[in-house]
Order: sequence, then structure tokens, then C-alpha cells
Amino acid sequence: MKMGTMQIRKAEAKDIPFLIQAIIEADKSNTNRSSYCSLLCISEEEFRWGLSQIFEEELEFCEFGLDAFAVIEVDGVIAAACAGWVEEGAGLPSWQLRMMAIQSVFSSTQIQSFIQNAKIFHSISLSRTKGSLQIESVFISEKFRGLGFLFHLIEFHINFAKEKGIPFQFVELLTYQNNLMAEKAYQKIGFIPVTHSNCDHPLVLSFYPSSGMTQWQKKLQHGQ
Amino acid sequence: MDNKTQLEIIFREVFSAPDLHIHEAMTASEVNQWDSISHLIMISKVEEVFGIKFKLKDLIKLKNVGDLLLLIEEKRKG
Repeated sequence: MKMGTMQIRKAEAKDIPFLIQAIIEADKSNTNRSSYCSLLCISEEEFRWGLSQIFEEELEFCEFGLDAFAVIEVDGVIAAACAGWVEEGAGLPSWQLRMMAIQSVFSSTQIQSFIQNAKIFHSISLSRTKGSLQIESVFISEKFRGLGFLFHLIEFHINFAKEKGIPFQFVELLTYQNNLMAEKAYQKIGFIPVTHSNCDHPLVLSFYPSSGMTQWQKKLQHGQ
Repeated sequence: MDNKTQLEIIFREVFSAPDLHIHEAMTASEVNQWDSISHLIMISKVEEVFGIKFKLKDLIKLKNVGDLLLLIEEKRKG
């Protein structure tokens, strides 16, 4: 593919629809199952609406905030996005921020569904490491895949955190185990698998794209 | 019953810790059972018991139990 003018930058309000798409597509992990939609018992449209409400607030240090995202623009078109933040950079773990965001926009019935369902499949969750640079909600539009955008986005987050003076030990991310293409891509740029989760509940694949997750880490090389 | 005592009762029930004593500087890292699901349960319970509704802009400012107590007080005053 012939590349036009490429620009990597922090996300802006005009990018929010693409960021919402990135969150949903990453959550679906190349399947048609969004765990958020399944757990909350809502449609993708309702989840999209909820995210648009959440993005109106200035949420930092988790993937539900504009501040966390970087995007790649090619000839003025958004081609890729990914979130990055230092875990507990502001004192609160990202899961707590994410849960508070969900709780604030969805109805009490939807929250009760989320609680009941998430309890059943709790063993699929993996904990993020405090003080690591988290990479989340990576999404590259189909026609821009294979061009090294993943590497550029992660480098951008590494450099941005360093420029802001936020110390971190290593880069960390989670994938669903069905996503072999993503696993290959992360391995290629130096990530190694450090731990796995597994949920053997018979209904897990009705709620999640996969029955397990893998946590990946990449240590920064000297001078990086 | 004051807000702190009522909140302590909620914490003991939600986090299955009958001897738990809350304090202003307490965070999720100090309570074994305080995870994403029990957090949702705890906030729902606080809203129900105190008859209040939190907004996201309120919740993201919460750094510890002391902040939660202040927010409850503020919300109850209306």
C-alpha cells in the first residue's frame, strides 16, 4: 500500500467516535461478542451511547478517557488508535476508574446484570501491574494493517509518559487467547507472555471472545 | 447513626469482613475482597442506603474512604 502523510498525535474530541469503535473492536477481539455488552445485557448501540457519555468527563489513567489515547492519521483520515497510561498513575487502579465510569452511566438493572454475570466468569480477569505502562484498546483499520502502526503507537505512549516524567518499569498489555494474530504481532515487537487466565464455565464463550486471557510484558531496552 | 458507622457496616457486609474498621486513608489495596465486582456492589449499596446518586465527575475524584465520606455528606446535604 502506498503511504500518504502519516501523523501520530494525542487524541482530540473529534476522534471520539473512532476511539469508541476501538474500545468495542478490541473488546470483541475479532469475534461478534463484546464482553461489556454481554455482561451488562445491552446492545452495542447502548454501549456506544454509554461510552459517549463517559468520554464527556475528563477521565485519566484508563481506556475510557480521551487523555489516554493516541491516534495515527493518514492523509487526514484516522487509521489507528490505542490507549496507554501508567497504572495507578494518579493513585487509583484503572479497574476502579472503569467500574466507576460504567456505574455512572448505566441503569441499576444493567449494573446488577453486570455484577451477577461478572461474578460467574471472575476467573478470566488478570490484574494489571501498578507502575507499568498499560497498552489497551488497540485498533487499526483493516486497510492500514501490516504497516507497523502498532509499534509506532506503543513507542508514542512510551515517549509521552517519559516526557511527562511519569516513571514506569515496563510495558504491559492483555490479549484474549483467541487472538493469534495479535499475539504474533506483540511477540514480533518484543513482548513476552507472563501469565494466563482460564475460565472453564460452559457459558464463557457466550459472554467473552475467549475462555482465557494472556498478559504480556516488554522490558525497555537500555536507552529506550 | 453517623455516616462513617453506616459506611463501615456496608464495607463489612460487601467485603465479607466482619471485623473491618474503616479509616479516612483506606484504599482498595488494603482490603482483600475489594475488587472490580465488589466495588460496583459497594457503590450501589452506598447509593441505596444513603439515598443518593453519584455522578462520574464525583466518583473519579475519590482517592480513599475519607473522600467517599465527604462526598456522601455533600450529597446528603443536597
